Amino acid sequence: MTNENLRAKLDALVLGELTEEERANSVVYLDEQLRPPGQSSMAGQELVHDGAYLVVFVDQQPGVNWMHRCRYLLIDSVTGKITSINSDRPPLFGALPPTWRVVWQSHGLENWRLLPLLRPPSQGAQ
Amino acid sequence: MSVSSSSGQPIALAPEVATIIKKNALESLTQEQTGTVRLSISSLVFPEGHTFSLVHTKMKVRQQAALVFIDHAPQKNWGHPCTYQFYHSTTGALLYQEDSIFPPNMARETPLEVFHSPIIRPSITHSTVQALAEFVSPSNVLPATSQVLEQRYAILWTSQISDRRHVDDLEFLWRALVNVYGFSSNNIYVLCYNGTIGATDVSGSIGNWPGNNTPYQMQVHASATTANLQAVFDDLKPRLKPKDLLLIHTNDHGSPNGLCVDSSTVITPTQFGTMLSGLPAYHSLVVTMEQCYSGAFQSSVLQKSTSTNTVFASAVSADKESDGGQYFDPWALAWIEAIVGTIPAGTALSSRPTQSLDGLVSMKASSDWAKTNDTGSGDDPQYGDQPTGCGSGIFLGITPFLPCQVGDVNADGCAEVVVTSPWGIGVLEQLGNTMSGLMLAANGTRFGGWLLNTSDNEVGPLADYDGDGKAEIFISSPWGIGILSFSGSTLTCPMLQPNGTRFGGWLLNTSDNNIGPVADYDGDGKAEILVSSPWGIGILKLSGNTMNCLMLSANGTRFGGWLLDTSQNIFGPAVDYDGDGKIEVLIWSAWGIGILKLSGSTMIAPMMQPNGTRFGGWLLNTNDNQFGTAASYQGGPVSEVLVTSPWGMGILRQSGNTMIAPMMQPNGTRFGGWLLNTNDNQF
Repeated sequence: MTNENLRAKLDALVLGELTEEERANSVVYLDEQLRPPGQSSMAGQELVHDGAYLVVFVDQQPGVNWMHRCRYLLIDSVTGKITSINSDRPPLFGALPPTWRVVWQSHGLENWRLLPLLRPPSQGAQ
Repeated sequence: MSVSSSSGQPIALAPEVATIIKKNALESLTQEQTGTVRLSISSLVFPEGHTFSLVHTKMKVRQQAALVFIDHAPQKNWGHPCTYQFYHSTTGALLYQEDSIFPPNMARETPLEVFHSPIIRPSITHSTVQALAEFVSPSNVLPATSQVLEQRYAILWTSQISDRRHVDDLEFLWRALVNVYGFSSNNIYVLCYNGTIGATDVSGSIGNWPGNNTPYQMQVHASATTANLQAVFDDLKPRLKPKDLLLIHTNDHGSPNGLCVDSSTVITPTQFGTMLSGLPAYHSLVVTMEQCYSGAFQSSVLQKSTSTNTVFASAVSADKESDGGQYFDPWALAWIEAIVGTIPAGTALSSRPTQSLDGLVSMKASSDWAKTNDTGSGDDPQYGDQPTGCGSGIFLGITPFLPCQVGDVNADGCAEVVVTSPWGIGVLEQLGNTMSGLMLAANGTRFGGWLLNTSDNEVGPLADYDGDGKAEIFISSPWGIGILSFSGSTLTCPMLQPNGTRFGGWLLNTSDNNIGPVADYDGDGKAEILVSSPWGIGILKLSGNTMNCLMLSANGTRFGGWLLDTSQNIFGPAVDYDGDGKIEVLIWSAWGIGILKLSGSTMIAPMMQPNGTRFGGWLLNTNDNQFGTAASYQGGPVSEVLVTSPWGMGILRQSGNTMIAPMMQPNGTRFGGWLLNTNDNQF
């Protein structure tokens, strides 16, 4: 499976998890950096995951001051099983690293409401 | 900048020498300079060889001397022209002076006492809205006012996890406070991000402020940490005095637990209340909060405040998130726009907040306007004040005089009180151990042609405008002016005229006309109105169902030696200072003081004296002298004026072309059992 195909499959998987409200009013970000199993800390919460996983961040009130409603989707890299965790804060305050990308942006939502994304060094140099 | 000693330590300057030096320094100014420069004095005598490090250069003290520092452009950021004057430490004579572009106390290492600064009343009138737009962009400052008697402080906060829009809100507010309201930048504590002008969503240089694409002006005090906020409160403890105002604005993220400091720390409402409770007593506290769940702070702010008056306003209630925006947070933006009168780019607002008195915007009015004009769909602005209603009388500018609302409206020999509320108007009269209501009417009532609406009607002053022995009620609104007369159980309206009417040569415009003082200037037994505007002044007299104009003069006119300039002149009590049966008016400026008297179709100035003059023992300094009620304190036809300063109080009486002080006493004097302290005594 090519990277493009894999991305398309991932995106479809994530979109299938969104509620109607989230499709209408949210921005969804995916971190393509695979995270190892075990204990980790994310957005102020301690997590334990059995297998490697990907993290999806669903900003349910984009542009509103933090702290506000949002959730994380943890996608098991082997089984594709998705675990949802409610939260009130982003992965970090400030720009997201280059491994993150936008998976979904609700129709009509202004771009300023998105979290800033750091570009990879090759893009940043241009 | 620092003071270092190469030959001994500085010693204290004797107070009596400091007084001489201040007088000499004031006398060294031209009249023009008095309106533009700020003078400060150090309490130390510097030994020969002391060196002031002034950023790019050093200044060495040539011989033992006291220091007066002259800031030639107090509205500008450093460096800009200033002068160091060195005085003999025992005689007070000027030894020499040197020019520089930096002060000796950039880091507060050389404390200076301000003893002269230009007095300009920073009223937010319709006429100045265009000018205010100018103020928000370049540094065109209204110099700090009432530096000694009524200080205004501010704490501006945005956290270590701030977005740029939060920082930009702070910059807008900082410019409003410094450039429009004349706050001293030394009195504003900006706790921003990591101690720099930056934000989590900014990488590299932050560039210009997006409000009008100019460099940031605000001076950051420290990073936004809990410890630094506590340190600011600790710093304020000895500085806050009973007449002072403190504004605290937080603009940030927030959690249900409190105000964000960083990604894992908050300041809870309880912690914040504890910080407030550690302050001494002062006049007014205004807290405005933008962050999510900010309404959670309302009760702790109102309960823990040590100020006489407390106002709280927030973007949201305790259970809601506040909206953000592309460049600014919508509620904070609206609130700051309300107090400034412009959008960040400097354009005047299309709709204006309700204004009070001389066109000032109260904290209640600004909060109301922000609530109406907040574009954040998720916002839910909150407001509270303690005592209830006090926010309508709290302003960021210096407190204006209230027009007199007391007079004998029914000629019964007793004074009645006119009272207004959001509901309507009433006239109250003492009746035994209570009051009776002679009349009362709800908003919407028509008194003749006048439609009552206390939300924009300004009532007073009361005076006998028609000479019938009864006091009538002057009333004004954005529409025009009227005079109401008590009649039976209601009010009639013998005169009302809309804006645009010409009273003789005077063009009525209540948006920029300042009314009063009202007095019988021509001695005919009827009260006239002294009215001033950015154009000049006039004296208006009731004539049938309109007014005529006894006198009008444009700015630039000389009344005797007094140069009229309504942007610089302040009118004080109007009484009979010379006992001739006609009323004169006190006038002062940063230059000095005068008494103006109507003479035919113009005014004369039988008395005028510059700052530095001694009236008997009283040293005139309009920068810190506060003129109170004028009355006949000694009995007889001549009235005197009460004056106070940080030194003490006096009574001044006209004597030919100057004044004398039949009474003056320093703070600490006991009048019977009363301990005089003008820092907290209210006259």
